[in-house]
Amino acid sequence: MKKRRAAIDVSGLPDFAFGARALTWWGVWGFLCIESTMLVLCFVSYFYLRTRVLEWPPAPVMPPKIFIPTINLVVLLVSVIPMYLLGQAARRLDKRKLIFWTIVCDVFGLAFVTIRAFEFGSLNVSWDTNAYGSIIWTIIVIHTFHLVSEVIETIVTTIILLRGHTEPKYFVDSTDNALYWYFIIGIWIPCYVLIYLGPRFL
Amino acid sequence: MKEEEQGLTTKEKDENAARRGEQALREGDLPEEEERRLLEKTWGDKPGFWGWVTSTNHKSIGKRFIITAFVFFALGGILAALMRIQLARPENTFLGPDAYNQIFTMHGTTMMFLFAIPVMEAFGIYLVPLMVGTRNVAFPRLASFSYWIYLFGGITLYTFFILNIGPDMGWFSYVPLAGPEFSPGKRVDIWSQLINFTEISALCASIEIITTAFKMRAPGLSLNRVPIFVWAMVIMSFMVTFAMPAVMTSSLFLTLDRLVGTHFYNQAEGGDPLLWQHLFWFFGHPEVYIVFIPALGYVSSIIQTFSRRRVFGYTALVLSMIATGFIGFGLWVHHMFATGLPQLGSSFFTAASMMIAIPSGIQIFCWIATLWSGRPRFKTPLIFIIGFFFIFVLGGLTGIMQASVPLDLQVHDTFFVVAHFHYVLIGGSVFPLFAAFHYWFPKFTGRMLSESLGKLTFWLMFIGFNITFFPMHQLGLQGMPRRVYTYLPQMGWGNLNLIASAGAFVLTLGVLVFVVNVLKSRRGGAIAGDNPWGADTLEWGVSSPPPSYNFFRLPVVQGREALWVRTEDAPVVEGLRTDCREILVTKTLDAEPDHKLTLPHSAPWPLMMGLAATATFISSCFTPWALPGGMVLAAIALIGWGWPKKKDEVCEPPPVEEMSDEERKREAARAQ
Repeated sequence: MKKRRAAIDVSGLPDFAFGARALTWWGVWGFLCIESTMLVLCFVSYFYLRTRVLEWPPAPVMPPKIFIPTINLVVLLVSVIPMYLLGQAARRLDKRKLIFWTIVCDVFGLAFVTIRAFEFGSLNVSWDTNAYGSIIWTIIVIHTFHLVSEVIETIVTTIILLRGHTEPKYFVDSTDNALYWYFIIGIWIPCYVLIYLGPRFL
Repeated sequence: MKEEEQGLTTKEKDENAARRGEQALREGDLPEEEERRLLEKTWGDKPGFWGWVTSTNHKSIGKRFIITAFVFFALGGILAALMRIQLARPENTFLGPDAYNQIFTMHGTTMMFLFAIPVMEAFGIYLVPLMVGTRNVAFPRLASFSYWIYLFGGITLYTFFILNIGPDMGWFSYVPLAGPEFSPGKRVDIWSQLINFTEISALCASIEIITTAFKMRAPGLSLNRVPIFVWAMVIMSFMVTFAMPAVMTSSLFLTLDRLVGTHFYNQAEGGDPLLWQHLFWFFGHPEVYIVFIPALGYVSSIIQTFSRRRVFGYTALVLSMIATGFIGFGLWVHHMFATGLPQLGSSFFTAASMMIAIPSGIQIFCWIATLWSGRPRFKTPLIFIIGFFFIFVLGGLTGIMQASVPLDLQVHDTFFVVAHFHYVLIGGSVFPLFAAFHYWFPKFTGRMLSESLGKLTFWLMFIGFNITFFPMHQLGLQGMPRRVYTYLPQMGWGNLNLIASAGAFVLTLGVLVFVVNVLKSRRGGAIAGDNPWGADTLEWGVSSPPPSYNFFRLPVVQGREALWVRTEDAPVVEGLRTDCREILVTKTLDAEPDHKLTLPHSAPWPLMMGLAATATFISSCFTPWALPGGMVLAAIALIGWGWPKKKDEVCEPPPVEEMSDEERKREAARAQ
């Protein structure tokens, strides 16, 4: 094809990009919208069910114990720091640091999942006791489901990186993984308030 | 080029590739014929069954989606015909009460969840990439997964229906009827799992459409030039994203109540059956607009093409669609006026229900203005659109009547409501859909549908529809409740019911003529050529059916009506790899070229993931252990999905390890 129309030559453009420029960022945000909406509707249901009874929690159920969950909240909030550094390392295409921080995040992830397992014992109610128990169990289980998926994803990423794959897409994926992690931490704050503080103050 | 000064030059990259023993081929490297063959090889499906199963091409997936949805439309139609036979005369014994309950539930569920939403998404998956000028959807494997899970959901529902375990509590599954106390057995559980199948399918397709429309538009296709069809698909996708989680939540609560003894809907333990209605209708009302807004996109495209002028009031049309999308979320309580809500709440929702008439009115006037000032050609698609106006306006009028609480209380749960929503849904959705099918069929297949059979289809459907549903208004006002399997002769409903049943026969005949037309024209229709209607959007600028790679060169768009304003010397995009599935990602607002990206290969993993989800959903009708079990299966499928594969690596940009520190810094800077 020698004779041709004027053309915009795109061969020199970058082969990947971070943040809102990347398609995966849009995909992750899409799923974040869906999952946040689902959790927000659970919160709304929580308040709706609150209006159906006189006491919260309905007697004789006791409010949940708060010690272990608060420790877990702190651990979760602190994990923002390694996640942020992971994202920065990924954006700089720094393989060594990325692997280091990914492993640190794995350790954090496994720590919450372990503490979370003990958290269920703090709730002082079963899901089939009454509607109050149903909603707080549902919120915590949905959140745990996300947490476990995220930890598995981070571990799988670690394995891929350790096996020596350093195509740029894994760096982009790592920043999206960090985005998802922030969501899981951010959404836990209202969950924590409703599950552990709500029964004391509402 | 400026970028080349900062980053790796094309030459350097190709040299890097050569170091790894590869040779990157780009557009313009080969003679046109050879290049087309290479593009076909790169983007096409592998031959045979395996190629069919693993395909990630949006056109293959879109076509399957459309065909499957029409099959479910036919099944839902057969169920409707059975109901009309049963109701044709008083005290009929054609169907028993239990069969009738299952049939009306299956009819509603099929039409809503297995036909209306999926078929709209399917048109989006097929057409959006073509209309925005790219080679595939943003997440091709997700699109494939979206199809499989939809197909498996439909098969599951019908399998259980055949085994006499079909849901029987109505398509909106009210508790306490659907709760553990009044619906023992597995019928309701199958229904709530079907919801999971459909919603996951729809949500995946939505994310797909939003990302494709915002990030993959051809250079020059700035947001203010995007075809109205694409806007409609984007708005629908946003509505799906925020409405579907509500039905997901409500059906999750229902499943938990039935399976592990939670008390969300159990009044005795602090729950509330009305919570179901709120959550369900928070999805259910936007759902009406989810199936209606794409129809607005079809209507605008078709009116523009057949009036032979640019659509009047582009900005007003887009904004009123967005307004409809927002107001659609504020209407759900008008389904619940009969539940004794506070008066202030009812007034608010009455006002909101009336407010939606404003954007709808703006749209109708814009279309009338377009037709009025254009030179309309009354081909089948346009005739279906005229039918849409007529039927939809009638449905809208009864809608405004029911927005008022006293009238709503009077006709609640009667055939008046049945008449109203069939006018709205068939008028507002099915007629535009048939118009769209007649309009894009030449693009899908390369053949024209027969005009005379098309017009016959229209008249049979239009007359049949009105004979079927118009008498139902009167039946409702005379007090005939919906969902009764029979009635006594003394009620005086016999004649109108007989007329309605006769109308259903005519309507069915219309659909049969349509099927004959499609089957006949599929092979024997007139050859369509690229642009049989003289339309303006990009999909009409490529051959019919389009090649697997859509565009030989990505176009550069020069104006809102891309093909009408295109000049002889319009530039094109060049330099994408032809031996890899490389696409161009552009900026969100103005669609300036931003970066390139390689889409993944075809793969069986979406199918595996679909099977894993199916196994999980079916078994979770029976045991809560399905959830952890399903997580393990899904994790395996997802890891397989994302695991690095040799054949993908060939197309990836060079690994970071192979870059010098200098190169790494430059590349990182360019990617921020």
